[in-house]
Amino acid sequence: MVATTRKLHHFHGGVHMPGHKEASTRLPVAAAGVPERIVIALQQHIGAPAEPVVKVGDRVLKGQMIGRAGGYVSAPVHASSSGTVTAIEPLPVPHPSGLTIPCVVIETDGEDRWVDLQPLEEYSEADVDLLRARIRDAGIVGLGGAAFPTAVKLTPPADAAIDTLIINGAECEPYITCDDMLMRERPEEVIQGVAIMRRILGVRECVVGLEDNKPEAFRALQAAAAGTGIEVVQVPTIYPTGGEKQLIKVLTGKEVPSRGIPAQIGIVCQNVATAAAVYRSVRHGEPLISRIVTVTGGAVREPRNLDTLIGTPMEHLLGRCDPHLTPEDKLIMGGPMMGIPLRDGSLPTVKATNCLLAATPGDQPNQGQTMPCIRCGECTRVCPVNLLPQQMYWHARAREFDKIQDYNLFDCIECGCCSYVCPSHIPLVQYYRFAKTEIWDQEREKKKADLARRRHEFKQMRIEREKREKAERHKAAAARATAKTSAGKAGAEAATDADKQAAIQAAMERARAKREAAARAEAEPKKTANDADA
Amino acid sequence: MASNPPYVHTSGSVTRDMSLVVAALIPAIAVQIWQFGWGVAVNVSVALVVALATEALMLRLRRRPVGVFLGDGSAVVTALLLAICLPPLVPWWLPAVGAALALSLGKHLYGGLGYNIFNPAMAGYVILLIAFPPEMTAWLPPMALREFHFGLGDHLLFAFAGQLPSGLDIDAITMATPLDHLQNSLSAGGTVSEIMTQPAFGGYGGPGWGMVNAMLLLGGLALLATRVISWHVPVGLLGALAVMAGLFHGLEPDRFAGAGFHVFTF
Repeated sequence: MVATTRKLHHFHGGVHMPGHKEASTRLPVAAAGVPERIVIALQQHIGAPAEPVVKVGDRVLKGQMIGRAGGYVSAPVHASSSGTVTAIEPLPVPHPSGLTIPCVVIETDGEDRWVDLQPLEEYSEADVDLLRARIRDAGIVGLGGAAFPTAVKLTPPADAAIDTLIINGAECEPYITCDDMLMRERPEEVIQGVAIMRRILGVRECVVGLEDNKPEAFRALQAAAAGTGIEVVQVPTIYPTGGEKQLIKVLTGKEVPSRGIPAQIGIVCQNVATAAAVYRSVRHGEPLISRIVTVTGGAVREPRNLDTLIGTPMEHLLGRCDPHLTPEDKLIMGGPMMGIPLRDGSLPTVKATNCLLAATPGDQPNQGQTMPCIRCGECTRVCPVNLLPQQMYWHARAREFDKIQDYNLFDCIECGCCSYVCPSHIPLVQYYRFAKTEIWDQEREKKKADLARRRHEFKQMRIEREKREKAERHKAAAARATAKTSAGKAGAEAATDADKQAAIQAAMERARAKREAAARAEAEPKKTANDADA
Repeated sequence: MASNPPYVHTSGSVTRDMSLVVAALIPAIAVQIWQFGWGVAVNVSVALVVALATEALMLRLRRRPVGVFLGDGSAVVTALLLAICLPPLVPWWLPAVGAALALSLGKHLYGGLGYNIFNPAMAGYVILLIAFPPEMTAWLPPMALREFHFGLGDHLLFAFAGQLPSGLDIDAITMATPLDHLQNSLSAGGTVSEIMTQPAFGGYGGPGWGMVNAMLLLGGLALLATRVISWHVPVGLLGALAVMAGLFHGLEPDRFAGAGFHVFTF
């Protein structure tokens, strides 16, 4: 066992809040079962969407790839049970925007039959590139919430000297216990996955951090980690310790640079559930088709954790937990601090679904009237990123998007601490999200305007060039004509009418062609400019 | 119910913060009434009534929800802060005018709760001090220095009818605050150590005054403990006062009073 003598550090601010975690940890993790219909979103990760490789009517097996990665920063998706593809169409998925995303719908056959999996017994000696390939092909993304493709994160830039692997088991948000239960029940999978990632990255230092409100998980992980050199550390329970940058600060004392990534300070951070998924993909060849989801909240009588096939409708999960929803209750994907509101229970689970919170009004205490800011500064005191939420609020309200960026808006992790403590009940995080979206929009507009300007300038340049060339041609022709005249006046005399006619004809042809070309260019400036850009 | 995260909130609210400020002021107000008489209670009552009425009127004119903002407690805080700065024996219209101007000019003309650039109570106080200097500088002495009895009835009669009990004259029964008194005596040529032997001084800040300020300090500590305020402003203000007073007192003890006196008097 590794002695936990690691010196711990503090991040700025943070809040203590009721955990509400006991309710969903009383029962062991159970299989959620196979729903009749599974909806697999083709984009459930950061990066490019996956491209479907099946068509309507195809029979698919459990674990079969149905969408291939659409780029380097992307991830494939797989059928989570066997059945028939009945539709490939845009459908609503859990996302703050409420937008639809192309999805593959599978009518399950209940057999839950696997594709042939390729296990890898000697994974601990396997080639690192092979390991990465298995992780990429398994469609593994960060299961802590951000859903960033794991294989990309395990391929740090060449100039980044990675020396530390941090495994995030903090799970700081209230109500959520899926990582806790995973660590309690499958600690070996987590530790083996960590060992694989450690090998891929070639790092010596490897720390698993979890909050000290999970003693069972801590003991289980410690036992599993014995003799591996992997350090398991308990950290104080304070929200949002589970934020990547916050956990890095607590465990190492180092700060990730503003707008930067951990690799810049030699650290890669992965979630415990991601580690377990890495192990299953490498060892058993299983793609990421299931995960543990916490189903909890006052509107279910039997809160628990369910091993859930990705794409299972939320209401199927609710049905396993004895729900009694009333119209005042709210369905939330995730926790009460950062969760996404769900419009109804028909939405499918995605890889990032860690919790389904069926919240009664009692789960949403102290909702109050929004009042003016009284400049108490409480938001600044609790901000874990050490930002000035109050100043950002004023600038967001005034739509001063330059100034708000001077206050490092884009370092805001939207943890919600500021809104949580605001005595005036100002929805601060919403203001920051609004500002971010507006800035992204403006940047897109600016890019578009720049492109239009470049096109215009190119057109001007082309017109100039054509004029110049024409003038030069005229000059050349005149020079030739002069030369001809002086060379053989006599011969010229004999220039036949036919010759003359041919020359006139050719000139007219040229003029017409040019007119047509000009008309085309007017009609399709885009094409011309694009060609020019290319 | 919030449709966007976070869906949970602390029990904190503007009303809670203001209520805690009011609670933190109560010991000081009680001691002030005990030491300086019922006039303090009369001032507090008049200021409260006028402040709340002005707040309601301004909210109505500005078409803001009257109930919501009247319930936030900020007008009560303004009324109390203004009232305890006033001398204990003043006509009723002084706290009334002060409260009305504090709420209207000091607060709502700037946009109401959260948008005032000055503390409304202090804005009201400054207006009164400039407009009515004699009324604002004549204090009843604290209990220990008083040679006459002045009951609730006497206070009410003076505040609302301008009548003093027979045989008493306003100039004879009032005095300057210790700070004013010290300044006047110093200009008259006294030294700090001589002046400090007079009955209006002694201990920290003088009898009565020091006690009220000690209670205010206690209230401030309670607000720090409940995280309604942070330490930066009070420590900055009182610390700067103490350091400057201590420095000058150290250099010229005859001309400048010490840090303890400055921090605890008014």
